[in-house]
Amino acid sequence: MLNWEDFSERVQTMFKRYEMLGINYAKSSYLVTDDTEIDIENQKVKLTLQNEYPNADIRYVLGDEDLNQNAIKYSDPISLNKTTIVKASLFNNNEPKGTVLIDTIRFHKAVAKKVKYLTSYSERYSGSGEFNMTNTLRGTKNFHDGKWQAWLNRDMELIIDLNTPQAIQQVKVGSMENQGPSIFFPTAVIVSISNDDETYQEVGRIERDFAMNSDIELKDFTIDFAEQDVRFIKVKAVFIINKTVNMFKIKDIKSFRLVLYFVIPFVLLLFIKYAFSKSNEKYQSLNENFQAKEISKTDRKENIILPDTVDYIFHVKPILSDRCYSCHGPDENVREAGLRLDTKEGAYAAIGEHLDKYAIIPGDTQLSQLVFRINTADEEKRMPPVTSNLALTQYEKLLLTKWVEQGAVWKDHWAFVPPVKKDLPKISNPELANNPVDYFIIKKLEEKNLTLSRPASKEKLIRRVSFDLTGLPPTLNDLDVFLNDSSENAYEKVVDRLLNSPAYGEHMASNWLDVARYADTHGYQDDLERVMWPWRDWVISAFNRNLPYDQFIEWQLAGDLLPNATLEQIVATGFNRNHKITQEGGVIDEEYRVEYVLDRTNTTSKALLGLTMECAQCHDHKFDPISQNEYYSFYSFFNKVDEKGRIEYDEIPEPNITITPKEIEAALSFVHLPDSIDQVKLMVMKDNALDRKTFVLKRGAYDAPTDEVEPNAPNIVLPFSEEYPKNRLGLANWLFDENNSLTARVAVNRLWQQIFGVGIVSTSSDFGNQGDLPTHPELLDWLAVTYREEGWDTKKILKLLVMSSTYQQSSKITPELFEVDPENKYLARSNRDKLSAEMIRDNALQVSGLLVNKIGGPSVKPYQPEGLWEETTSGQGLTKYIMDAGENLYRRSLYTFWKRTVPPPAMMTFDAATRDFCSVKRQKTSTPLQALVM
Amino acid sequence: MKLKIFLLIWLLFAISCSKPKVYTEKDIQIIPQPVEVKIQPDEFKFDQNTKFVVSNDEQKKLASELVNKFQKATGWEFEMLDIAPKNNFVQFVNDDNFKSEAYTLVVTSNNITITAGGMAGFLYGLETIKQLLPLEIESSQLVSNVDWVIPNIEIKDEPRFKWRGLMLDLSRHFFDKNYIKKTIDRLAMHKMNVLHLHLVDDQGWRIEIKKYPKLTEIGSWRVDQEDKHWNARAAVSPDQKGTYGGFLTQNDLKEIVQYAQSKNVDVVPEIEMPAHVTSAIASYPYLSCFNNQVAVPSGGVWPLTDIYCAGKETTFEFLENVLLEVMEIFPSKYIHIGGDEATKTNWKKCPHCQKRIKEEGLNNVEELQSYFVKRMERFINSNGKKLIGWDEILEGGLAPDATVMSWRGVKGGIEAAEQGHDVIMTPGTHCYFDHYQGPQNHEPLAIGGFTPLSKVYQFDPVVETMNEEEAALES
Repeated sequence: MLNWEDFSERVQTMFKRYEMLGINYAKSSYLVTDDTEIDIENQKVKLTLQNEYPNADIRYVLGDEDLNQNAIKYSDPISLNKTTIVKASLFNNNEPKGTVLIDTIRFHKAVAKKVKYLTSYSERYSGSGEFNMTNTLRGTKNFHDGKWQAWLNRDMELIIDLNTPQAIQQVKVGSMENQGPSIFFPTAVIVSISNDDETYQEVGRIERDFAMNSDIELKDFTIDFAEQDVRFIKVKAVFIINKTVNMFKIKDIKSFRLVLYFVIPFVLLLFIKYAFSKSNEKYQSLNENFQAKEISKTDRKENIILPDTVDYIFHVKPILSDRCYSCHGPDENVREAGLRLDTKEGAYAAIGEHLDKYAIIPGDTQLSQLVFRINTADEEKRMPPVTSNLALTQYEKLLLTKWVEQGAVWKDHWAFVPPVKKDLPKISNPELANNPVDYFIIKKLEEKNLTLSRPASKEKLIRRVSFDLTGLPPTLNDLDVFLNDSSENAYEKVVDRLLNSPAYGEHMASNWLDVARYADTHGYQDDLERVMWPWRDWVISAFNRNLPYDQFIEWQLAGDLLPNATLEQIVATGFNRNHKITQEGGVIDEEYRVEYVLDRTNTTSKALLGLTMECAQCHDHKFDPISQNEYYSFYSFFNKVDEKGRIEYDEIPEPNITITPKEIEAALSFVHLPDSIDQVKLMVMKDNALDRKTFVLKRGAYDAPTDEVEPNAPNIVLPFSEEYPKNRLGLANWLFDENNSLTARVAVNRLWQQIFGVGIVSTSSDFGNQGDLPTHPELLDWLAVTYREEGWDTKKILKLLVMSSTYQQSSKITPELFEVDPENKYLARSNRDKLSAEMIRDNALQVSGLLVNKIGGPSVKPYQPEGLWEETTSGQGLTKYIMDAGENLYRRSLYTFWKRTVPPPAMMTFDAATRDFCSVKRQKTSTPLQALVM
Repeated sequence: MKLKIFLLIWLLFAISCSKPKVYTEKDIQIIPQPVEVKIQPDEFKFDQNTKFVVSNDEQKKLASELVNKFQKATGWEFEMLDIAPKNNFVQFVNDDNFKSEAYTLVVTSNNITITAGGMAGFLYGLETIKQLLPLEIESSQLVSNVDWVIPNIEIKDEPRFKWRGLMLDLSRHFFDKNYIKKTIDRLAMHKMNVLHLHLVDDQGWRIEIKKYPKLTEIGSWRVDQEDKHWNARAAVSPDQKGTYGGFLTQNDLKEIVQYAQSKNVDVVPEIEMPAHVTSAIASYPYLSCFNNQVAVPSGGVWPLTDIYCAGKETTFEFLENVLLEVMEIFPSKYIHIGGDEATKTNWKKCPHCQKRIKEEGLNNVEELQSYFVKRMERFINSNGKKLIGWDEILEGGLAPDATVMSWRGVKGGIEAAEQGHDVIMTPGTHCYFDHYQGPQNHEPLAIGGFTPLSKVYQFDPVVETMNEEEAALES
């Protein structure tokens, strides 16, 4: 009368009805379960997949395959003879349905080896009998699953006979605790070995006190010992509760009516794990990790190779930052379970309702909740939660586990520790090195068994260095001179000439305009013209004069606040007025004024500190230790300007200064005011709203002020000294404080990026927890400290970089090299890099002899396709692009008129920045449009 | 004229010759499986002109549920008529010869007829129609492109068991009135007819008793440790404030009972005694042997030694007063008095209990429990009701007219049936849904066990030697 097959079809229709009705029914019957049977003779495991439904469409993959792509329909048991990951799911209409079963069938050295039981297991819980302990199969949390052997009221003691001596270094005993029905972990596990089965020598034991445990938990007791050849392994597990017996009575650990009445002191399952072959490789900073990761990707089916020493900064933190910080990070408002993993105090702190648990207990993988939670198969408990879509890979789980095992050594985020100049590393062929830069590069190459490539040809080298330092190609004459110069310092002469040419300042300025979000219009809807070019003239001049970087920045941030500020220093502050300004009617003035202050804050943070502080505008930063409070403290430096949110058409925003030939003659000789213009007004910074208070803005909204804040800088970088004035000048002092861990690193990294194409920290805008790690951390620090020690001499650093052997290498790539280092992280060759948008156009002008070598002045309007402005303007102001005539058609590209809403189209095609906001690194793309522009 | 008639006939012929759709058993997916199903070719099609033919208000009320569902899914508003039109209608036909929950459902291309002896049969007939219709009938919003057809079919159906129940343990986990009403809907959907409310247990008293207000002031609330496994919750003291819990007022319960009646569901109250009553003793310590002040526990308690005193007369006075209010609320023929898992260590020591044993000529505390239950049965019977208890009430002698719920496996059920008692089969192995339903590593926390769907399905309440009549089923 009862026909499950028939019912199972009807009930699936019923399930659909439940779905229509919004009834939350148990999906348990969709689960695929696996059952394993061992073929003792052939040492193979037969894996059976099943589901409650008869004729279920079960599909599976083995190893790394993707269940959505390559699933194999299950029909007969799968035969396995090595450690294998199995993933299986019920399929419906070719889609996986329900939870995916993931199980690892493990093989070890004791598979199918005979076990001699010195104390016999319970007949009611006999598992699969005499081979249960060595059959590779793991028990589940269900103690009735037929896989567990139990010892009732007695110790477990047994001997495994490996037949012949084998190298063993680890024994694992799998066990379960489920105190409800009186199933307990052992309180001691003892392993002894022997080769004659008579005299046994103890090689390790784990002892623990009995502890109350409300969970059903699976745990492996792992005993490690020095590798040795053994034949017999004796394993003993003991359960003693002594004083705790009383506690049991008091606590009434029993159950209500559902529980079966029996007592099992503990249930035990044992298996022995393969001893990993010892790797000879030594840990060497992050690149080891990269390599290990790469290997693990290709090789995961066999073995996961972990670094010998797991490093917090280079291995652990990137995982925590990506997968854990969003709930266990700096943002207090979304922090779960009171656990904070981004600080040392938080990570080691007691957690849980009774503060009786720890996420991380150095060295203890058994009790560290982190290890348990990432590895547990219980989806309710597993971290990251399934719903977060942030799964850990097996490699990452093993890495975190090993880190805890090795003592969970904490290190502060590298970028928040001030740089230290280390001695140059020793290299085996110092003659290859031209200067200190090379020592660091060659050292790393030697570790990888790589060498520098041969030097590039002179023709290529002069072209490369000309573009990198001036943005222009060498002239034929330059080339001839260099080729014919056989003196030892011929190349150095070229470098010096380039650094001293006016084109150097133009090229450097061209990069800085991206950082400063320079444009010739106000942006937003109306996007009318503004005059900021005198500030651009100053930038060019500052670079050409090699104004030290600390002054270059100090003047731009706070020139107006310097004692007896010169007009030039005030002009420099135009930097912080390059942001967009709206002219649209009907906007809320304060809302936009706040926008401008936010822009300055974010620009300063990104350009000078390499921090994504803007994340803390609406809430505490999710990844870096920057609170929202600190964000607005930083913001308050820029919040004293008496400015308007919305300006009228043709209004020149206050505060500004007037520049006439008189001022130019007196103090601003770098401003190239054309004869046709009498005067210009330039926006500058001025703290003329000193009474304005700054508040934390709730959710970053201008009209939701909460707590008042005072000017301050992020504490994690460097506490803001009492001695500094609480204004932009103080901020500049803070930035160039010797202990500021970021300013110098961020600056040299950007210079490195300019010369080598990619920064030592490839995320040049983010040195925080989410940023990439430096490929050569010691080199970065060496350069940073040197830059400071050398008086922030930018030309000197650039010369150092381009004079290095590393820079002068050929960019020729061999297949072997490409295999080892496809991204050229180690610099065993020169990078092949794209020319920037400006360089491409300037190159064309130069080689065709059209380029006009004239410095500075107002922006120019060279050729651009017709009709673009008309298409995209609001009907106000700049509605028509009127092309210039004469020499203005052939000026260098940094002078091209930059309309924010319609930037020069050819430049955009070649990845120029939009100048809507600060940008420290351009994209590098290849698109067919580029060919069309050419 | 002749030609016209001929044409008409030909046309009719042509239409009727278009191949009717043939349905097979696979197309009929009804739970529970009807007793007899005969499938015919072709189908009945609902459209906006379909009518419902009802002969009284009760039928009208029943029909309106399906009419409303159609309205939600299709926007159609079916008309209800007293007299059948020519075709395209659903009709209720009363036949007093039918057993109370039996019905037949006959579907032809022309109309649908449900024949039954009363409300329950019609309700189940309509439920069957719903399950024959496309799933979209359950949609709460308008759907399009659905053929509202059901196959031509003849179904004869009646339940195998009189008692098809579900127990909700409101004590261990409190459910509010709305959830309970929703549960009643789902019972009706599965043609089940008993909702057994476990209103009293150690961890919470859930029914308002006007004469004993502390039962709900104190007994309904426990210290919140809901985040822990049931058996891992710490012991609490009486001065800790309880925040988890709640109770149903008498009005709530009356509303539930009335709602259930409209769905052919009998609500059976369970008032546990003499054990599983820590919540009552926490409220009125005099109910225990030694007047100990205890707290409402947050989770599992074992063994259950805080039980009612079987010696004091005041205990029975209390219970009778409670049951009088309970019987006032629940019209059900049955009152469940629990009776399980009493650990009688206090009874052995208690002078009142020992006096009772002596006076009543009992041999031991097991017989004292039997005395307790029999005395309660007499009281219940004298109020025109019947007693149900868990299978422990067999111990020390079963009360004469008691019905037994067999929860510790099926043995108690067999034993009671052999003694000629009614039995409800509720073995923990198959009918307890606080068990894991799938592989434990993948399941949310449960009390333990492993009871997958197939295992539940495969339980046949009529075990071994039992007669069909003796058994009923409850989950």
